[in-house]
Amino acid sequence: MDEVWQYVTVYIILIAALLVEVMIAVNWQTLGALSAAGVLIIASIQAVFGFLYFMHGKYGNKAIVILMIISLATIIPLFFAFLFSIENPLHLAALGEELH
Amino acid sequence: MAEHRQNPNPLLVWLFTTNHKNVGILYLVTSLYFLVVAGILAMVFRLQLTMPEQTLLRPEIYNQMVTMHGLFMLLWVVTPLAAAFANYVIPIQIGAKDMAYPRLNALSYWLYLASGILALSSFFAPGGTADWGWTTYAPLNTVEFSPQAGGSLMGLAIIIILSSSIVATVNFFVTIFRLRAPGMKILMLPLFSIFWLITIFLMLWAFPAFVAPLLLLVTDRVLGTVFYTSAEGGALLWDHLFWFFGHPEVYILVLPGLAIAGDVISVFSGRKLYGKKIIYLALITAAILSYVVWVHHMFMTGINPGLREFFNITTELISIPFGVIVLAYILTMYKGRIRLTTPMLFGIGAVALFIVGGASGVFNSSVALNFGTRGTFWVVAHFHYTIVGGGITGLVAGLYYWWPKMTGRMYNEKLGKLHFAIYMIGFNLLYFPMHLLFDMPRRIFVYEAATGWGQINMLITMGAFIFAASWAMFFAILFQSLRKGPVAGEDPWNAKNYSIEWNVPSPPPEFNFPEGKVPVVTAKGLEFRDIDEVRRMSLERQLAASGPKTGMLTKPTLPTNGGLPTNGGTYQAHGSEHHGPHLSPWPLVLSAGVTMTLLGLFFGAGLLILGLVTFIASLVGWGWEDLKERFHVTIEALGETWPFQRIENHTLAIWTFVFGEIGLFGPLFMAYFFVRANSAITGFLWPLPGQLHSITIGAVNTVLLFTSGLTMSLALIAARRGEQQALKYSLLATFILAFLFMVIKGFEWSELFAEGITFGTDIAASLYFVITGVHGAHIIAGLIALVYLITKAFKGGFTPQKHVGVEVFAIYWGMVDAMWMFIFPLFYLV
Repeated sequence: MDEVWQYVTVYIILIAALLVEVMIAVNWQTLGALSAAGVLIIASIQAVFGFLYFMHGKYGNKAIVILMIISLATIIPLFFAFLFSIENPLHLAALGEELH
Repeated sequence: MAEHRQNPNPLLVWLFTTNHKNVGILYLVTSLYFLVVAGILAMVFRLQLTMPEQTLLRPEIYNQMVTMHGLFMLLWVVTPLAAAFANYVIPIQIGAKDMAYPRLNALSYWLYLASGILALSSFFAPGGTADWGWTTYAPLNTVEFSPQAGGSLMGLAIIIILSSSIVATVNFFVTIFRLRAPGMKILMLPLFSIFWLITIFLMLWAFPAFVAPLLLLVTDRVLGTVFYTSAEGGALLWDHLFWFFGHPEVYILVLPGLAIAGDVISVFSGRKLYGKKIIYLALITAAILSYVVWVHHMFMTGINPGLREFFNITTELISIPFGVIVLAYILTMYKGRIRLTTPMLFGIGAVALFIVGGASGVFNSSVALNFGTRGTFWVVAHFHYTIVGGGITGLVAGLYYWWPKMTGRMYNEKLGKLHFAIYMIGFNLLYFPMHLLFDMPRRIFVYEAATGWGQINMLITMGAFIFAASWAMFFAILFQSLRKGPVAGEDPWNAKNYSIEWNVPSPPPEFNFPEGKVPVVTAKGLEFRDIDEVRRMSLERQLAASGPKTGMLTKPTLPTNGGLPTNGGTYQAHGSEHHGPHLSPWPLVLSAGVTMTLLGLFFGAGLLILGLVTFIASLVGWGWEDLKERFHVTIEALGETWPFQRIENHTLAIWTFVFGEIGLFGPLFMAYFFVRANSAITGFLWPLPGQLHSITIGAVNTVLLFTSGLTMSLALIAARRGEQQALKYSLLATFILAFLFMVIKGFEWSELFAEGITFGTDIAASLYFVITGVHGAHIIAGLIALVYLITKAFKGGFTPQKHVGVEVFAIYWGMVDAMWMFIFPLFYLV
C-alpha cells in the first residue's frame, strides 16, 4: 500500500476509535463502571497507534522503543503509591475532619 | 581562542559564546558565586542557632534564609557545578569538537543564570521570599500560610532552572550517544562521563516530574487553583510528586562527585579501576532503585503500612550498589602506587565522608528508626554528609584535577593539602555533632537553655566558621594560581592513558583537537587522524550498515546532515574544517526575555511588555540566524553512535525531549487519578460526561488535532519525495488545523468563565484548566515552530536529503496528539 494511504488508514482507525469512545461516553449509564475503563483502554490503543505511526516509532531505532517503555515504566511506581495512599486510614480521618 | 580573533571584544565573546569550554567556565564561576551566597545565608542562620534564646533573626527571616540556602545549594550550586565540568571535559573525553547543540548549550547556561537572578530577586519582593523550607511542603507553600509574592517568584525560578536542565539533558544525551570518537565505546569512557550519562538519565525523568507539582503550586498561588488546598489533593499530593523527584535528585547531586572521586583515585593510584563493569552494574541498579525509594521520606505521613514496608526494603537495597562502588574504589587503591596529591586527597575524602552519610542513611531507611530521627538534626547530618561530603567534596577534587587543564596553570600543592586538612576538620566539626542532636527538631529557629543543645550547637558553629575559612582559602589558592601559577603543560598528572583531555594542550584549542584532526581510539591507543580519512571511514560504515532496507523512514542518504546544527547536509568534502562564528547573541537575548517577562509579572507591566518583546525578538532572531545559516559550527557524528546508529542527531534530540515530556504529563495524569479517586471518598461530585464540557465540541477538537497529525505525516512524506507544493500545503494545513484547535479551546475556556467556572471553582475545574493549559502551551509552541518550517519550505529549504526539521516536528506533533488522546477522554468522556 502506498505510504499516503497507509497514513490515511491509520487516521480512519483513530477517528473510528474516537467515535466508539464517544458512543461509550454517551451511553455511560447503561454500561456503568465498564464505560470509563473501556474509554481509557481505547485511548491507550490510540496512543500506541499514534506512537507507531504519527511518531514513526515503527521505523525508528529499537533503543527508542525501549526508552519509551522505560519512560512509561518510571511513572508506574507513582501510580501504585498514589493508589495505596488513597486507602490510608489516617488520611481518610484527616479528610473526614476537614469535611465536618 | 579563535573567537578572540573573530571578535576582539572579550566581553562580547563571553556573552555570546557557544563554545562548550567557555560555557563550562561560565557555569563554574556562576555556581561558585551562588555557593558563596548560599553559604553566607547558612552562616547567618547558624549564628542564630549558636546559643539558646538568640534574637539575631526574626523567625520569618530565618525561615526564608533556610529555604533559600537549601534550594540554592541543591538546584543552583551542586548540579550546575557538576555541569561546569561536564560541559568542559565531556566533549573532549568522548572525542567531540563541541556539544551537539552549542547554542542550546549556551541557552541552558543563560536560563540557569536567569533563574538564579529571579530566585535572588524574590528576596526583594513585598513580604520577602519563600519561607516554607526547601521541601516546600503543602500546605505551608499555599497562599494562606505564605502569602508573599516572592514565594511564587521562587516557584517560577525553579521551573526555569529545571527547564534549563532539561535542555542540557537533551544536549548531553545526543552528544554522548552520537558524537563519540571512532573506537570510543561507551564502556571505555572515563567514570565521570559514564556517571554523568546515568545522571542525565535520572534528570530526564526526575526534573520534568518536579515541573509538574511546581506548575500546580504556582497556579495555586497565582491563579487560585485548589490542588494543595482541597481535601482531594492536599499535602499528600505534593509529598508524592515532590519526593518522586526528590530522591532521584539525591543521586543527581551525588553521582558526579562520586565519579570524579573514582577517576582521581584510579589516576593517582596508578591502577585501572577495580571492577569497572561491576561499578557500572551497581550504578545502573542504584539509578533504577532511585525511582522506587522516595516514600521513605514520607513514613510519617500516615500512608498505608504496606507501602511503608515496601519502601523500607527498597531503601535498604539501594545501599548495596553504593557499597559495591565504594569497595571498588578502595580496592583500586590497594597495592597501587598512590600519589597523595590534592585531588587525590579530596577524592579519598569524598569517599570517606560518603560512607558516613551512607551508613546513617541505612538507619533512616528503617520505619521504626525513622520515626525517631525524622525531622531532627540527625537527618540534617545525614544528608550533608551525603551531598556535601560525597557530592561537593568530589567536585572540589574535580576542580583541583581539571584546573590545570582549564587554565593552563598549576596551583600551589602545599596550600592545596593544607586546604584539604582545614576542609576536613571544619566539615566534620560542623556536621558530625549534628548526629548528637537527634532530639533537636531541625525546623526551629530558637531553643531554650534547658534543652541542653547549646554546647553542641556552639561546637557546630565553630566548625561552620572553620569550614567557611577553608572555602575562602580555596578561592585564594585558585586566584593565586591564575596570577602566578607555574605553567601546567598538557599532562601534569601523567594521565594520558586514562582519558583524552590529557592528550590535548592546556587549555585546549577552540575545537579541542589539532585543526583538521579527530581522535580515533584503536587497539594501539589514541591517535589523531586526518578528518577526511575519518569521514571516509564513517561514510563506508554507514553505507554498509544501511543496506537495501534501512528500517528508517528517512533513509541515510550520504553525505549526511547528521550532527550539523545548521547548514545540515553541507558535507565538508575538502580536508580542512570550515566553521562560522562560534558566537550567537540569541541564547542570551532569549533568556533575558524570559527573565524580564517573569519579573514583570511581579514588578510592573512595563518590564513585562519589554520582556515579551525581547522574547519574541529572540525567537525571530534565532530562526533568522538558522534560515540565513549565520551560525555554522561543524559538529559531525563520525564515530561511535551505539545504540542510535540509524537515527539523526536532531531526531534523537526530539525523542529525548519526548521521553522527558512523559515525565511531565505522567505525574499530571497521576495527580488526576489521585484527586479523582479521593473525590469519591470526600464526597466531591465529579462532573458527569457532558455536564461541564460539551462532548461534541471536544470531539470536534479531537478530530482537528488527529487531522493535523495526518497532514503532518503527509508533509513528511512530501519532504522525502521532494514534492515541494505538497509539503507547503500540508504544513499550512497543519498550521490551520492547530490554530483552529486553539480557537475552539479559547472559546471553551471563555464559555466556562462566562458561566462563573474559573481556576479555583473546584478541583475538577483546576485540573481541567491546568492540564489543558499545559497541552495548549505545547500547541502554541508547535504553531511557532510551524511558522519557521513553513517559511523555510517556501524558501525551498527542504530537500529529499535535507528535511530533518520536518521529521523532528512530526515526532513532536505526534506526541502532542498522543497526550490529547488521554486528555480528551479524561475530561470529556469519563
